[in-house]
Amino acid sequence: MFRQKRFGLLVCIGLIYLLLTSPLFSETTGSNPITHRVLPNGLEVFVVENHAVPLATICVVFRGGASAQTPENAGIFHLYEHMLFAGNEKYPTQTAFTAALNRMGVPNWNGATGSQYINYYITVPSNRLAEGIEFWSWAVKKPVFSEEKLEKEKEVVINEIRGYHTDPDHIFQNALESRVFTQYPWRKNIDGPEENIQKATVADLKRMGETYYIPRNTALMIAGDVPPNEAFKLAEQWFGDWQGGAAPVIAEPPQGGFPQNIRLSYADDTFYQGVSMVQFLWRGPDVLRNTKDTYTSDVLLFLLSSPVGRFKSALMEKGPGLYDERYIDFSYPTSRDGGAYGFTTYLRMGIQGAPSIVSRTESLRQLVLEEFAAIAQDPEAYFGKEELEKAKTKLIDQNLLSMEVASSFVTGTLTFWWSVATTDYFYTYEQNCKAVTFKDIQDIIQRYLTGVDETSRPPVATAVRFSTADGWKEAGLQEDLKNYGYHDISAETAFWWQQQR
Amino acid sequence: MLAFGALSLVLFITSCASAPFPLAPDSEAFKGNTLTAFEKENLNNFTTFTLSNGIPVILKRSNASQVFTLTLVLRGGSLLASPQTAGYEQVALQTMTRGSKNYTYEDIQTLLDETSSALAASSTFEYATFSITGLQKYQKTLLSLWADCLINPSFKEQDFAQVLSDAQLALQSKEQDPWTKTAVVMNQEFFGQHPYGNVPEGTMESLGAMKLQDATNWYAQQFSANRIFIVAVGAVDPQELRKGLESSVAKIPDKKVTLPKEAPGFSVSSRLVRQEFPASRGLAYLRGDFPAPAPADPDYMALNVGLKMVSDLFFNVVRDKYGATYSPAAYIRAFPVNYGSLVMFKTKVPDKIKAYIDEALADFGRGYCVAIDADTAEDPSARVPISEALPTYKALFVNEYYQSQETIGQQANTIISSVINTGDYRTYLKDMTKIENLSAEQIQQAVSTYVLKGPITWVVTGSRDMIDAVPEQDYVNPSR
Repeated sequence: MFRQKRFGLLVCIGLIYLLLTSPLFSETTGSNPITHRVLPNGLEVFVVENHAVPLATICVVFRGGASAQTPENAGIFHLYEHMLFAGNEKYPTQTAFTAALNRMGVPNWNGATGSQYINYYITVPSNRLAEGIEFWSWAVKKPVFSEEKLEKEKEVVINEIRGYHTDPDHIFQNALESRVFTQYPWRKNIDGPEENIQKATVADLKRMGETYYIPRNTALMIAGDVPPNEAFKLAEQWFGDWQGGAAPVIAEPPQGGFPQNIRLSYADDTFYQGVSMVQFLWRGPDVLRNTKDTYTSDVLLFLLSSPVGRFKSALMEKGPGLYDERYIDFSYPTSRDGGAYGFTTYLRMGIQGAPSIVSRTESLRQLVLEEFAAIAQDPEAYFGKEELEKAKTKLIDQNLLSMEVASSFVTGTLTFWWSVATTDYFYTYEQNCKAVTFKDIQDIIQRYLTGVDETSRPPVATAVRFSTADGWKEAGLQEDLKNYGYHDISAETAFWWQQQR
Repeated sequence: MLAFGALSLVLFITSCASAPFPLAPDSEAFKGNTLTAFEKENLNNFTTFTLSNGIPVILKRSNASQVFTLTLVLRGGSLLASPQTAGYEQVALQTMTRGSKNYTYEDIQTLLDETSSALAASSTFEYATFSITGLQKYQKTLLSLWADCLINPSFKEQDFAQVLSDAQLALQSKEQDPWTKTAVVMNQEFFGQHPYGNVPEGTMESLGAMKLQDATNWYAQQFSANRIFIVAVGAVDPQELRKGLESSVAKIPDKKVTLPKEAPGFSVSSRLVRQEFPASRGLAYLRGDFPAPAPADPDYMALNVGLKMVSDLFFNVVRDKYGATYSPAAYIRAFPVNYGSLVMFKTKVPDKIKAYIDEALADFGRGYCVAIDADTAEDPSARVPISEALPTYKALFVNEYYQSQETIGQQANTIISSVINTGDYRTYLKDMTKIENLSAEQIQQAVSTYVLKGPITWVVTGSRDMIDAVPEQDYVNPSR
């Protein structure tokens, strides 16, 4: 979702030049609360000032997660995340680790493994910033993995991922993604198969640490009631001696295009009655490979966002029983690898005399493509000039809103942008979005969504999800599923490792 | 004339700020030399005044971000509902977000989209809110929209139908997830016939019978100035705010709705409820709810801090020592009739987990919590007396307190909660002092009274084989 990822205040060209040339530099502007430096060992340090409350958040982010996985190590990034809390040379046990957090008065600490990053963060009283930075330096630089702790943490992780593997939302999403990203499906799922967790060893974790948990693959983000100069000094003091090799190559080679005619259906015992969910997925741009397209995509999202704008109104008017315009969502989560555009909405069920939800899903896909074709034909006529400017204003306003809370800004927004893209991308984001034209929008719609004609139309995957209780009451549903070539989704076949057995 | 009017307004606002206020009783606690620096600093940021229809307004000025929020609070909540009308207030208020005399649904959606703002309504056990949150630069435009929805709601059939449908789908969604299902079952079992059992989101039965007329009747009868107060937070100019409110929400009539008396306490016994959830294969979810002291009760802070220690013991024993759960927790809420929860989120061993919970609670019962000293903490089983760890836990709690004040919306919620729980919007400013004054004995006593010796209603959710294996005697006759 675009909501996950926003930002950017601009810096001048001169400072960007410094960013590229100086081994130790700082970027900031008068109104910009974000300052950035790179330590000689390659560690990027961001400091975000916000003096609303006397707290400081220290967040360490590593590029990696699912996008760096192989079939053999899928799930181990997540296990590693758990183990980083388990102990290090200064705090050898989980209890010692937790006790140290308590002594610092840490009200909030956590970690997350995502498809493109792993992050860990704590929030400390701002007068204990030095202790907080030292604390993370031990965890990051000198982790200690014991066999005994590993076996226990495997149980905790398996508890956690079993919940995901039986979660219908997770089943639906994995079934779709594993069938469109056919070359490297393990780059889209962070939990991995249980057996990978079971067989993981301390040596596996160490290997992972040496490859990914190194300064050139890491950002240290310090936010809140902090003086930037002091924060940078402490970062240098505690992380300056951290050594490691070159930044790992992640997500190469790229995911391929989608196969043709992917159609999936999920009859789900637990799904809402009265509505079905429909999702279309197109292969979209990857941020480092198709950079300009990602800015254009974000502006397009804002052009389409209004529930009563032309795009959603047209679908509501012409569409086959859509539930509500607020539940029409066109998304583009910026991705380093396997970018995709998603269209998701809900259809009312049980409409007297209406075709089945599958037949209506087919009609809806055609309608969505026609609407995109209408935009591509003349975007300026479709939206009007003012709408493009409004979309850019919304984008900037969203950035202002995301900065309200320093801690969530670094653990969410800044983490996302830095790990998915680059520092340069982050700093020039607004500037590049402002430069987007209607021609750019026409161009990406034709290349990624509609093609210029029927023969060049990119593949679009379709998935429909409905409640078992009322889905099968729909006249003609079974027949339509068969005739249109839909394949069933189940908990036994949703995940990539199940399909490869 | 205009200049005189402006001067009068300034004098009125200034005088109101220091005069006794309906939501700030004349209390010695907020006078003179007894105030801490924190209290003084925050009190200086408040402005209060009363609209001509008697609605009190509390403004807290904050320049920490470019965001502002404006919330109308309706006292009553579930206490004014019945099993038949549960959820009506929330549906009616949410319908009001969709259209008014001067703003069509399309106008509202366009405005909110263009300004990245949020217009929202929700209900709780004791009150309901109708709020607008957005960037400061749009304040004037958004105040007009918010006020028109409040004083001139259009209540169109199609808007009502959509809100009702959304509410019913939201209820359905709670049935789909084993953890939210646990909460639904717990509310039914724990609240029973208590007024909180008229859950703010409604039930399938109550919402199934609701018609548009019920929403308009609610507005005609229940939407009364004597139930309302307003909270604003942000870089808001008091005079501008007063002017905007006086010309809009000051028109809401006082229908002299009878406000409910304080709700009775909960009637709870120790028992175990098993809820089958076939889809949660291989995992179960466990939650135990218990009556807790209200925020105005002297035990409230003691139990809050005590349960933080218990949470760490759960983490240390149940999660780390036995690997028996993914995420344990212990906490209380903040309602005038209050309750708390012990939580084991995801477990593979629901048949054994109660023994691990009791092991952790037994440590606390003996007067110990997880070691916080650098040397002893290397041994995971090390414990220290509560009194030794107390300064650390107080610091933790104070920091959590700050963290709960980070957003403008959080600050507004804290002020609202303070009014609802104590009748004084300033009471929350004393929380820090209350924490500082806690003793280890108070904390141990509070946990003992409400958790170790008090009745707990437990719900375990999971597949049939898992929940059947849970021994009932562990919960009915606990060893804690």
